[in-house]
Amino acid sequence: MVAQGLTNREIAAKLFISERTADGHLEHIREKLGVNTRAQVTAWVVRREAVELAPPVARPARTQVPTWTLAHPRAWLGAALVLAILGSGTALLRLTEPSPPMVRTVVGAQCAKQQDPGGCWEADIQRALDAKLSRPTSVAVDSKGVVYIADSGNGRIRRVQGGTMATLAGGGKEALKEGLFGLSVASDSLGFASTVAVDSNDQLYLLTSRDDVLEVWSIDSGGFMHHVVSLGQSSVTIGLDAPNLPIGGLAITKGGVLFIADRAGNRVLKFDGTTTLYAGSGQKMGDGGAATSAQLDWPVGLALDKRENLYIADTGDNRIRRVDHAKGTITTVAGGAGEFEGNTGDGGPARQALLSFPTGVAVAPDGTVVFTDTGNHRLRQVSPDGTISALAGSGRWGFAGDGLPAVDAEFDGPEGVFLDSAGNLLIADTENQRVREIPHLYGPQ
Amino acid sequence: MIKTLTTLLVTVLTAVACQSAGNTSARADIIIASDLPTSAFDSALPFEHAIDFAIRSRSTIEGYSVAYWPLDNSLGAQQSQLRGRGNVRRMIADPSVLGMVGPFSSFVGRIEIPEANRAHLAMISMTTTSSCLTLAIRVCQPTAAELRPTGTNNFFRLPAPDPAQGKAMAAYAATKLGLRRVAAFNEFGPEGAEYIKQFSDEFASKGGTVVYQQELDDSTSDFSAFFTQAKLRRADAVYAVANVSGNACKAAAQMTKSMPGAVFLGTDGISLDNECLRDIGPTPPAIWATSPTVDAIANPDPAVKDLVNAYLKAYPAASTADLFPNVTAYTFAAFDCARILIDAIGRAIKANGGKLPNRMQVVTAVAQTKDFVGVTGTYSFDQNGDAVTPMMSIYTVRDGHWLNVPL
Repeated sequence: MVAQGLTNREIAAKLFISERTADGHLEHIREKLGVNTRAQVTAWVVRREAVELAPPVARPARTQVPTWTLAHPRAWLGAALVLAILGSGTALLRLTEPSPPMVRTVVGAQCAKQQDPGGCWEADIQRALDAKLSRPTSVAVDSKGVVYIADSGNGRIRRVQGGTMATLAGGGKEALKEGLFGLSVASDSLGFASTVAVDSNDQLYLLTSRDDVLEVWSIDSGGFMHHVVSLGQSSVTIGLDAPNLPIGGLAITKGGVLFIADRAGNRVLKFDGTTTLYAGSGQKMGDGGAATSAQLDWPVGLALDKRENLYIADTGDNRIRRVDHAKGTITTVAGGAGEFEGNTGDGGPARQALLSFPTGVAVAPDGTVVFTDTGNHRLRQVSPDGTISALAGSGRWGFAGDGLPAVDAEFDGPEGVFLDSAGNLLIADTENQRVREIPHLYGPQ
Repeated sequence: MIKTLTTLLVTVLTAVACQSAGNTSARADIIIASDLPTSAFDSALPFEHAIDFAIRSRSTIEGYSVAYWPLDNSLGAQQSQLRGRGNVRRMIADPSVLGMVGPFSSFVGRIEIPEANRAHLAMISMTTTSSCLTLAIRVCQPTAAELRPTGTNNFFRLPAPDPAQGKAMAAYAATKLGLRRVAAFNEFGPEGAEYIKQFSDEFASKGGTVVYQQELDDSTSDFSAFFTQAKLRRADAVYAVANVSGNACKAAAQMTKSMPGAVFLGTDGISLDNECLRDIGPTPPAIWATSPTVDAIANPDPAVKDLVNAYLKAYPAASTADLFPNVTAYTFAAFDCARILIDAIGRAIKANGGKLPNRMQVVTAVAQTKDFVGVTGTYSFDQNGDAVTPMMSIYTVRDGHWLNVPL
């Protein structure tokens, strides 16, 4: 908007913030870009748009990604020249240093008009980078690279394919309706969906809440919805006027077993034809003991590793937990150093770190655990040796950093996270009303 | 009241002038905390200023130093129950915290109150209006009793529970407007029925009758059937328990044609809403609506005006934000909440022989607050924690604007 020539007052009016706040954001932008004037900011935006608008929005090619990259063929030529001239081992080392992860936006754009409970809405916009989302809370990707988004504030499930977005379900600002996906057929309300998941057959699942009852629905290849399971009263009062989503999490094994995080019930349930308690409901943290006797507090995000060990974003406990598939025991993977939220511990043991309301979790093929440290506006990772480190986000809330190293980017309350089969990390940057991506973060799953 | 407020003004001006900013970070014997969504909503910032203003006016309470600890319950750009609960736990962990102002929203209150209740931490809210926080209402989940696991109330508030607007509107309609026969419609569901019950009971006590009542869906756009029934029963006014998005003000426009000369009565679902002013059209009926607030700026009391000016002088940076006025309808309610806590802590110290009281003693002192003269009203609390005479205002539409009228 600065680049569009808007004054701070005009920006404030458009964003429903104060002029003072707009000025503060501009100051942060200047600091971040290392420039002094509005004109320099404008010049930077023009350069960035030229870069960002050039590539199509389609999902990246599914190729084996090297641990280092050179962005342009000319760079190879330059590198070869340097090597030839210098013949230096130092130059070789520099060339083979891994590139830092970069972040970019794949879905969503700035709202023209903010709506309650945040985010925005316009009639379907096909180009994903122009789409208007409202508090996207969850994202999932199938094996063909089709992205599904729980556009929670708009009461819609979105699908992005080849850079084009469509609405699969929901009429916007109202509960989902039962019926054929993609049509306005409506009979009974399905309630509100905050969570999406995809199984190994590319079947889409939704976790919904209707009359305080959690339900799971599947979507078959013909677009028909099927009720999978209802999970009983859960005391989750959902309204679009209250930012009370997500209601829980969902993870599916290759064999089709469902794990459902029941946020309000402080538990994780397993559904394999019958529903059983898998973790939670206890009164003590319970690390090392049976998961079914452990305490969970407001569990949301779920993810499975190769061995089907379950990782839980134990949001209210400010921890990431892990349930051992074979033993049924629970341990803390990250967080738990203190009683309250915090933002410490990078470079050290993950269990001595402080987190702030982690909401989403994913597991890489090598066992690295990635999670959204939502209250800190960051993403962090725990390596297989148990060390925690920064992955993305400077820790300051805002929207910045597309095209820059991910650790320098700004996020705003990121919630859902999904690692696709090609190793791309999708992030529901919830309060920025966008889905962002760190491409090629890990090798194919 | 003027004398009391004038005394307060002198105290505030003197104390604030003598203190530098940054009192909030000082370590003190007594800490008053707040839990507000200040980074999510710019409009919440004046509450912190107002609380700070009240606390800075008192460098000590009965000889003990006092400081302010503002906490923010925003997570991303939203209010967060989780962060609010975490903030309350942090307050509880600090033994110097003897009370808190907040929360801002009822849905955050429903998760904070039980935490604070277990620790006997006094809470005073300037904005929450949900009946479920204080009243024994069957449809509430959780109930007010479930929010108080110790069985002793620790939550107090200055605004009325929402349905009390019905009682206030009825009293005004009967005594100031001289109305006697009212038809009512409800788009708020079970809680809306409670508005109408309170309206009906109060109206009857003053000689009026609710002659017709109908439940409507909030998507209703054609109110002609309702007006036909109201007219048949010779209603001289309509009480609409509905909001602007539920077409309440479009109903007012339709009433002009269906029931010429009838008065339209509403709730805070329409009062002070500019969209309503558009919906009622160019020839609206006489409209009156309640708001569970008291706007200090509209107060003609010279002492209040001086206090508002002193506040604006103390926080000049915020007053430049014209998109969010630095003094909103609830700003001085936050100021009053802090002052009520200070007053109660002072009484608790005295009752404790001059020693610092524990939290339960502070809760008891807040509950015993009697006729406390604040900027927004004079306060005592009932056994549920609701103000006996809660904040309430009546607005009417005049020349295309909402105008505050004396009660």
